[in-house]
Amino acid sequence: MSQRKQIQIGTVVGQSEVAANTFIISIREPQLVRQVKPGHFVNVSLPSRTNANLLKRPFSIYGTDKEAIQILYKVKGDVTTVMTTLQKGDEVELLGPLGNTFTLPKKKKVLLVGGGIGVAPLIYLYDRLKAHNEVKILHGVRTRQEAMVWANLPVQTHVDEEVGHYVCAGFEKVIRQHEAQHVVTCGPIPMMKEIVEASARAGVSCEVSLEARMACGFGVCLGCVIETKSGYKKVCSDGPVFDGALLW
Amino acid sequence: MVKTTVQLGPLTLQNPIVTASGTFGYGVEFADYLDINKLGAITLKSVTLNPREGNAPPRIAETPSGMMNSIGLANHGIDVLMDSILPKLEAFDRVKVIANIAGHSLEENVELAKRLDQVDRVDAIELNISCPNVDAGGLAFCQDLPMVSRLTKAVRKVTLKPLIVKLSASVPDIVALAKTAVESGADILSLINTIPGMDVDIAKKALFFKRGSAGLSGPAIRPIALKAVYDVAQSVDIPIIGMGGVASVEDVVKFLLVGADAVSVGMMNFVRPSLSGELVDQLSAYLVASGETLSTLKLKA
Repeated sequence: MSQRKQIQIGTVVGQSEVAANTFIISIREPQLVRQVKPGHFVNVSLPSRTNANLLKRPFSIYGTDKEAIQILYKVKGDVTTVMTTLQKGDEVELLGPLGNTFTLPKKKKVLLVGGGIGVAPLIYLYDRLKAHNEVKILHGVRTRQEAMVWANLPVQTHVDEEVGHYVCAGFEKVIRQHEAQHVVTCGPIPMMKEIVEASARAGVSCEVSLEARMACGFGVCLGCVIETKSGYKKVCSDGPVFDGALLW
Repeated sequence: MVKTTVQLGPLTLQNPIVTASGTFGYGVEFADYLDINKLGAITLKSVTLNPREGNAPPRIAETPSGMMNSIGLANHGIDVLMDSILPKLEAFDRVKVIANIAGHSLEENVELAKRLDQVDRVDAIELNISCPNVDAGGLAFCQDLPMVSRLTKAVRKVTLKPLIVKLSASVPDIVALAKTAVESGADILSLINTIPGMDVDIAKKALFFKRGSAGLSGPAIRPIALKAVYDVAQSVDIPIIGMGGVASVEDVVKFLLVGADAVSVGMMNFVRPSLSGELVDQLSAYLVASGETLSTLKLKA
């Protein structure tokens, strides 16, 4: 019989604030690191949580570092607020890796477009694509305070309030400028929708990574469904990565 | 080795740990997380005659110590259940399989029961008359005692399999409801289903769920469930599967003490998918450590 999956206890090895209300936390869990691929997510809960917050929270994988996974997150609610207080040695519960994975093309010009915190899974994807593809990353943020410093990464930051429009505006032109052959996006729904539609017009494949509130993360509660062209699909187990053409 | 077998009327379970409908898929999804063959029984997701897409999202919201759902009985329909899903459960020969039927009408429930009566892998049929998330049938049945009687009698007539009737606590008098189900032919009662609740989206100035109401489950409803099981156990003589926010072996023992004969794990399957299997071991350990048996777990007079 194959090894059973179970909730793993990971140990925090470090955490830092990288932009306004935006943190990277590293959690040591060697088994998870061995299994994880770009696109996967993990369901996280904090053992120190009160009984009031029972459901785990899904986070995409930002990267791996030796035996630790890295999660890039933005403070949004009670759980992420508590998460910022975690220190080296603290334990968290991890269930994963969950969900499906990004397509990994070869010898292509690939454009990755992240909106806000949605950039997280794209950085991990970049890491696995860069050896065999020509990859560029666009990161759209609303304000300068949300911009991150990207060392050694080909990231072009687009600050909406400075440029005067969203990163996805006139995106067909952006695809042509970059001569992109494959687009991957993660961010707010309206942004992804525009990018998917622009990619379709440009005749370029486009994958999106979605997020949703979910209770289980492995396809049972049916709570995380999204409407697609072929009916409701589960973000957790049919996704989180979808062919954009299936959605819009 | 401590004896854990329980007799629920005509249904024998190797131990009293059950999983609740809608929280355990079709069992096989959990095979990665635990040995489902060690459970007393699993209850399958509700089935209807035709496939149901279910309700429009959002479908879930977290609450303090629980969650609300508005799934709306999404399922593949009886044909897929019988042709593709039940055969996968053949490999698990010790766990009992309870099929949960949730037709929107008396006729649909009768048809579902007739079909499932023919399937050997189905060990019992649970009649869901208490789902709060559908427009027809569901909880509306539970609030109409003459209907509960007609429905239970009609389903009883078409199956020889053990018949479980699943009750809601969101009724004026759960004891009257329980007695009606018993008098109409139920072999076993299961309680409680989720409790109708509501959330509000402040930014949109709108109800959070499209249907307004949704079903609250989890530890938040455990005290309500314990009282419902206690009240019903005082008044009826048939076995009870108790459920509502079971999260630990202590919770299992509490339900057994107030009169449940078996105990079902629901929402917490989402939080800790291996929980039901762990509870089987922990209950045995509890019995050994305390010197109790399942039959001595009764409230002191």
